Formats: sequence, structure tokens, C-alpha cells
Amino acid sequence: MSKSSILFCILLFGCMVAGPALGAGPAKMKFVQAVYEGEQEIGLKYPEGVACTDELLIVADTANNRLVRYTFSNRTAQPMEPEIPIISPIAVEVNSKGEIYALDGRDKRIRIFNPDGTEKGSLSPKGSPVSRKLMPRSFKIDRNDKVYILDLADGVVLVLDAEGNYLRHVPFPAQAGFFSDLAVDRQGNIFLVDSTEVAVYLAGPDADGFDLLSKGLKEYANFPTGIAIDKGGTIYLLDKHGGSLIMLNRDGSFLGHKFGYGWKDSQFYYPSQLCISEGGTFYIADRGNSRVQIFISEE
Amino acid sequence: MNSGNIHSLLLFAAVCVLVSLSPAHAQKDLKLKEGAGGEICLSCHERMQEVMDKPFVHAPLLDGDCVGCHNPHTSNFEMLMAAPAESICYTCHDSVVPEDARSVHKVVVEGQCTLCHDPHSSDNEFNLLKKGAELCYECHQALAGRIKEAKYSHPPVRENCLDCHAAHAAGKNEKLLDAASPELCLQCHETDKETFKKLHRDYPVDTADCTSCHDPHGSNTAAMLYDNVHDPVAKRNCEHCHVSPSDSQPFALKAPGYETCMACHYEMITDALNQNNLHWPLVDGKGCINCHSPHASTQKKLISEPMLDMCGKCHSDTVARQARSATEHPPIAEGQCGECHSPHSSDYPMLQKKETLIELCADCHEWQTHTTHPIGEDFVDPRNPNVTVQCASCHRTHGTEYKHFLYFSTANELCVQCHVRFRR
Repeated sequence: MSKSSILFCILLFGCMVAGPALGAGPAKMKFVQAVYEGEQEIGLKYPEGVACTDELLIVADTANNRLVRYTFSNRTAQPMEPEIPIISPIAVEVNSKGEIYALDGRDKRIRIFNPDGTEKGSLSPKGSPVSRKLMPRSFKIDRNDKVYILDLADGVVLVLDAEGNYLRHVPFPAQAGFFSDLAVDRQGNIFLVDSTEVAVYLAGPDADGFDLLSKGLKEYANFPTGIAIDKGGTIYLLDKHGGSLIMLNRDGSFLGHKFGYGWKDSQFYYPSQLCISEGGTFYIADRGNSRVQIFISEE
Repeated sequence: MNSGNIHSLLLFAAVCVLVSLSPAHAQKDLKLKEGAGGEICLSCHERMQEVMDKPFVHAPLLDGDCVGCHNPHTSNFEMLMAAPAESICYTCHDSVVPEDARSVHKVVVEGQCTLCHDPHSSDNEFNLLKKGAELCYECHQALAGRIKEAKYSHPPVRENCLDCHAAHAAGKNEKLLDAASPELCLQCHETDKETFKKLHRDYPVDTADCTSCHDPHGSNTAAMLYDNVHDPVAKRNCEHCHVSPSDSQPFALKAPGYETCMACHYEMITDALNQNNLHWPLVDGKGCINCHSPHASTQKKLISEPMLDMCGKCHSDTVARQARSATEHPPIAEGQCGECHSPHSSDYPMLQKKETLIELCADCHEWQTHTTHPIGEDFVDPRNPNVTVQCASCHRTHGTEYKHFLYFSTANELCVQCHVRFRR
């Protein structure tokens, strides 16, 4: 074997090993639609939350006190009936059975709705050792329908199974700022975004505490309130006050940022949360612009 | 010539260069007169003789070493300084700031040593420009006013700030303190007397932070409590909020977070929790004391510090935006965040006090309710069917880099965002 062949093999092997470790990198995002209204042609008003699958978009239409569902196909979102009434929803998620979980901003309860929109009940943790009344700021549901609740009252991320049984809790890190949102990746790693210190913390699937993953991001973001992970492991922070999307490598290093403050397509005015589907569609609750913007990834 | 010889020659040449560059060699070469380092300077700078008669003289001057700080020929810096004024002192005084210091005096960081010290001589020790607290009051004027006017004063504060604070930097403590509270306070105050214990309701306050109740710089309230005292503290009803002093954790609260405060402020907190948009720190582990001082404060409503500083702890980006803004928005610049926002909760976005920005802004800008660009529910923003034209369509209330906190540098550029047919 010649020297050049050996060198080529080494480079190829290096790329195979280092490629996945470094992550696939941020997806190129292409704007496809801005969603302005629901089925009853009532315009969205300050929507704060979005949940998604590859075929479904659910919007927490906060100031209209409703959840609005949309089918998403051929790069187009079409509203579905019926809309689901709920007071001031501020976060929404959907599990593998199509059940919708929504955080009621006034009662601070997570309410559960059947796929047909009828109410199933409220999420009430069973067997949880955390003592105070739950005060969820945000929550996420993973691929196994485990529920991860960002509980401000006890300063923990509370992990429940699909039936609401306590599995574990992970305390917030000490000496941090204020946590607004969390994300869970395919491996069960939990990520927290610290809005005031502009930092990201990580707890592994079995960890009993959080470690700082990324700090010193104030240069790039003002006040991030949303966090999501794509299937390649890239971390996305939604900067509410800066109107932009910050991308971090899975090791927390800064990759870049997109978008900016404004009213036009691909601009944001105090956005609040984002959701990334398995297929790589990005849905961003553009709260101040009273709309949801949809982007598809072009790898 | 073999390589060994070459190496020897190079080594010899290097030694020669080093010897020729040594100060002694240089001075000899320069054929300097006796006293050229300083004494000769005094032959022209006669006033310096008078300066040197003062009791405390800077050592280089005393040693006749003017060139320690000044270049006798030319300089890029004022007063023919040999290095920038903000760094020259550090060439000798390089240990003024301990490594990993917890707090450093701003003027030290900035190298403004001459704000406190005379570089030549002084009537005061350490070449200080003034004696004791009077020197500190030159900059800390607001605090000086409070100290001088305080009905109940703290004697060491009136005499010498350095009784408690380090002048340059503190290795382990905030605010340049020599030690943290209560260690610092206990250096003078005895806590084992019965009166002391009785006044503090038998709580072991010698293990607590004295400055959570007492203003170390003096106040107008008895016992040097901060001027705004929480009612249970004023009445010495510590057990309203804390468990018994005989408890293993005597300073523990009776309930976590805001729940302790609900015992008295039930209505206010319940009302706050029933609004659609909550200021989330209210319900975290610390609760109300994220923003309020539970015992006493210099600020009204027991806010722990001036509002701009307090809100800026979390919302530093917003405060910084106002600081950078080409036009000042008085409520923000003056720290009146509560003029527009409800600090606990609101039914409206961004914790606004009123439903629409138009209503909110009209509280001060009344004219805009009758003489302005069309705004309000009847005027849809051409850029977005779900948004109507309102104040924030053109102005970013916390400031921008442009005048009148407009989003764009010129009015034309702003207007054509909507009036696109006029775009050139």
C-alpha cells in the first residue's frame, strides 16, 4: 500500500470517528411559512409555545386562551378542528400517543388532552419526594413519553413516567441565574438554559446534578428563553430579547447565530419557544409578532 | 572552523552584547553628570525643594531618582512621564492588588492612583491627598451626605473608612471589606451581653449577617437599622417568619419561598399568582427575597437595592440597552421600572401595567392620544396582519442606537418599512 493510500485511510477513519462526535453541525434553515391564524380565522395573539411532530404542529395561543392544531404536509400548515380552550397556555408538548400536554399559565398546572381535543385531566406527580406545590416554568416529553418538568418551586427538574409516576429529580445547579426552559435529547441528556447568565447546563441520563456546558454567551445572546436539540445534537437557543437563534455544538462551543429582530419573515419580535421535529422542521413561536414561523432544514 | 568553535564564538558575542546593554555600562557610555538621575533636575525645578520639605515624600524623589518616573528628554505622555500615567505606578507597586482579589477599588483598576495619592509628597501618610474619610468623600459624595446627615451614626465611619475597608483591594471579601460580616463587626461589638441577646430575641445573630438589618454607614432609624424596616423586625417579632431561636436551625423560615410571606401578604400574593403572566422569580426557592430585603432596606417597599440595579441583575441586557441608547427614556434611566411594569405579575404581556402600549405610553405622552401617526386597533401593521400599529412599531422603548429610540437611523428608512411605495 502506498503512503498516500495509508494517509487517505487515516483521514477517512478520522472523519468517521470525529464526525459523529463533533455533531453534524447546524442545519441550513429555509423559511417556508408564517402561521397567522387558526381554523376559525381568528388571528394568533402572543403565542408562547409550540409542540411538533413531522406531521403535526400545536400552538399555545396564549392571549387567545386556546391551543390550535395544524397538520403539516407539503411544507404547509393547515389548521385542524377543534381548537382546545385553556387559560393562558404558555408551553405545549405532545406524546407518542398524540396526547397533548399544555401548561396553564394562570393555574400553573399541566393539563392533558386526548388526541381528539377532549380533556383527559391534569398531570399530578405520584410518589414525588419534592415537597412544595409544583411550579412548572416549562416542560418537555421525550420519545419514551417521560415528562421532564422545570419546577421552580423546588429548584429541580422532575422526571416522571408516562403515567405521572416519579422516576427521579435533578437539582438545579447552585450559583446559576434563572432557568426558563429545558430540552432533552435522544440519549436522555437534560439541557437547561440560564436566561440571565446566558449559559447552558447539562445533566446526563443518570446524573444527579447539572454541569456547566457553555457560558460566556452574552456576546451572542441577550436573554434566551427557549432551548431545543436537533437530531444531530446541535443545541439551539432562542434569544427572546435579541430575536435570534443561537447554535451551539454538542460540547457547548458556539457555532453561530441566525435571524434577528424585526417584523418581516425570518425576523422575530420577542420570540419565546421553539420545537424541532424529527425530520428537521423548525417551528418558532414568534410571540411579539403574534405568529409561528416554520423553517425546514436543508442539509 | 568546526561547529564547536562557532558555538563558542556565538556565546562570547552574546555575553558582550549583554554586558554592553547593562545600565552601568550604558550610563558610563552616556557620560552622565553626577546627579543626572534627579538632583540636577532640582536646579531648574526649584519648587520641588519646597515639595520635598513635606513630611511624607515619595521614595524615588527622596533618593533623587526623578528618572524613575519621568523621561528627561522626550515622552509620548503628559509631564514627560516614562510610561502611561495609568500604569507607571505598577512598575514598582506591583503587589497592590492581591492575586485573585475578590474586590478591587475602581480607581485602582483604572490606574488613577493620583486621585488619592500625590506622586511627589504630602502632609499625610502614604502621600494621601487628604486625611481619613475626607479623601473618600471626594468621590463617594452621596454616601458622604448620608453619613454626615445620619441621626444615628457609626463612629468609625465618620473617622476613617479604612477601619473596615481596604483602600486598594480585598483578597476575600466584597466591597473592599477587610472581613465579612459578622466577623468584621465582632472585632468591636461584644455579643455575649444579656442586653444584646435580649434585643436580638436570643437568636444567635453573631453568626448572621449584621448588614441584613443594620446600615453600617449610619441611618436615621434607631439602632442604625436601615430606614425602611419590615414591620415584624421593628416589633422584634422574629418568630413571625423564623422558627424558634432554640431550633437546630434557628434562622430557618417557617415555610419555603413566598409561602412564608403569605402569612401576612396573602391577598397580594394570591392576586399576583392569579394573573396570566407571572414574574417567575416570585415562585422559585428564594421567592420574594429575590428582590426584597426581608428585614430592612434603604429603599422603599423594602426593595433590596435601587430598582435599576436590582432589575439589572437579571435584565442586564435591557439596562445596558438604555445605557447605550442615543436618547434617554427617563423612567428607565432613572430606574423607575415599575412605572410601566408590574413587578409581581400582570394579565398583559411583558408584565405591562396596561393592556396596550398605547395606553401605557399615554400616561406620560398624553399628546399621542390626539396628535400622532394613526395608531390603535383600527390600523393593521402592513408588515403583519396580526399586529396593529402602536408605539413599539417605530420605537424600542428601552432604547436603540438611534435618536428617539427609533429602530432605524433615519425617519425615511423607518417609514418605508411600511410605506413601501415610497422606497427609493
